[in-house]
Amino acid sequence: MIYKFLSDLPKKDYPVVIFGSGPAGISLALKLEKKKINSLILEAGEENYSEKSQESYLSNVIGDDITDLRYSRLRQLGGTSGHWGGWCKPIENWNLKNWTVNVDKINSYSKEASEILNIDLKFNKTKINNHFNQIQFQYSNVRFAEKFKDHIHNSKYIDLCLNSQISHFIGEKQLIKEAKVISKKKVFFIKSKFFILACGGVENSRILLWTKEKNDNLINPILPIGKYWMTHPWFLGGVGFLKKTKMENMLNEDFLKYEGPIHFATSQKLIEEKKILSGAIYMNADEDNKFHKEIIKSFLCVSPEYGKKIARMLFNKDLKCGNIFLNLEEAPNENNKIVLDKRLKDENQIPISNIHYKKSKKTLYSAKIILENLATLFIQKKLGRVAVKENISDLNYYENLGVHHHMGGTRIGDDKNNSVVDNNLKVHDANNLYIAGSSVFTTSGYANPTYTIVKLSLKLGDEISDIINKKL
Amino acid sequence: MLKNRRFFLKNFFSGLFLLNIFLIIPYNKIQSQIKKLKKKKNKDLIWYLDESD
Repeated sequence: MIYKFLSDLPKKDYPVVIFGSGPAGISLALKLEKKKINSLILEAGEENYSEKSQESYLSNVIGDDITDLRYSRLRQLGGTSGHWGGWCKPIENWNLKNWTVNVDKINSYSKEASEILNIDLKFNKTKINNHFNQIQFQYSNVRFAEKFKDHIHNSKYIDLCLNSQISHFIGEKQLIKEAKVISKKKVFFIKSKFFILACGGVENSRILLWTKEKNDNLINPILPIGKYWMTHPWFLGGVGFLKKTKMENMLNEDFLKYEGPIHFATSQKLIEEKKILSGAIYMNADEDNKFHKEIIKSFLCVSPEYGKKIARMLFNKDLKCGNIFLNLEEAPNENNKIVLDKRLKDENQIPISNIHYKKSKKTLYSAKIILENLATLFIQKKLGRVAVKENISDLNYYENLGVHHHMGGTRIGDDKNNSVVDNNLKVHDANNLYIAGSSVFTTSGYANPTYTIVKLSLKLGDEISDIINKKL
Repeated sequence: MLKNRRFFLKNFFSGLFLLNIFLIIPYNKIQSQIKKLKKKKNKDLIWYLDESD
């Protein structure tokens, strides 16, 4: 059933309470439902978008600009999946080498995750040379609220309550006893055996930090909560043109034909050789003839003869021509962190988040090296030409196109000095508190996070049901 | 003497021609493969070009 306020919820014991109804929370509840385990999802927002609810994302950014959380996140049923782009791709296995969790175990949930996201389990990769691969994304059309609202409403095992904002957990000696939840300005204390925080890449850290402040000996003080916060630097690196037929002929049957932008990604070899961060490069699927002409004009100025040949090709529609975008990995940095503001609180008296974020020189250095190598590849294989923005490695000119992926803050690991949750996503030294969502990512890779979020939630569902079944 | 000089010059130049074919052209080809990128600036963009562009 779906309830509007906590006061409407009938008295019932739920072995698992999940905070947040985004992709992480709903995927987990669906997994528990399959195992016939009751769960209650508490969503802070309303059923649909509301400006008042979005105001709860008010936060301060100290350092470099990031997209205002009130616009990048959604506090409503289905969470931020209500306006996401739907890009799905698994994180490369070699990008997961610093994750202590078993990679094969995560990947064993790929099929189930792709069913939730309505995508094909096709993430092909074709080697172009030692430094680049052509890669394939899948595009999900799933809005979790739309897809699962009726299912949850009719479910025997899942109850969901809207307008229920968690303030903090209460407990002692490593055991969470209850959660303080505010619904329609009334305070409720929710008891359960297992508590799962799935509120998103900033809120998970905020609630955990507030829990730490409100309890003297519940959360281990050495845990780096809120630290190693990351995003995916996403920016325009330059322009270029690519001869599509030439590339198809070069790769023969291995050429990946799919709708949408043409994607390239850096290989592990390039990353290790040049000591840079990994990245994906894409040229938009949309064609803009006016912009094509601008690019060809620019090229004619530097290479009149070859430029004429290229200009002729533009009419054959054989030329992919346009902006070159980069989606890069960001290095985890202890100083990029979420902390609680000491003065400002939201309407539920929870301190707002202060996000300390500094852009990294390594990101821009990586962008420059990646595009230079792409330019070399285009020349050597006669695929086209690339122009790189002159000031690409200058931090002063770095314009992020938007910060929408929020990762880290409660990262996975074995070492309590640099991680918050263990391989089973359980908060270190807290017996019944788990975290789902991208805040557990140890490193970011370059791939969009939602597909991995869903896989991790499904894995967590199995872990919890195993524990519950053993206890029974 | 004259005949010898002509013979010498003919052989010398044809030798040079053959050298050009067998050594210099392949050498140029190798050079074109390993040559460094030529960069040309246009507005705020730096185009990466082949030497033949």
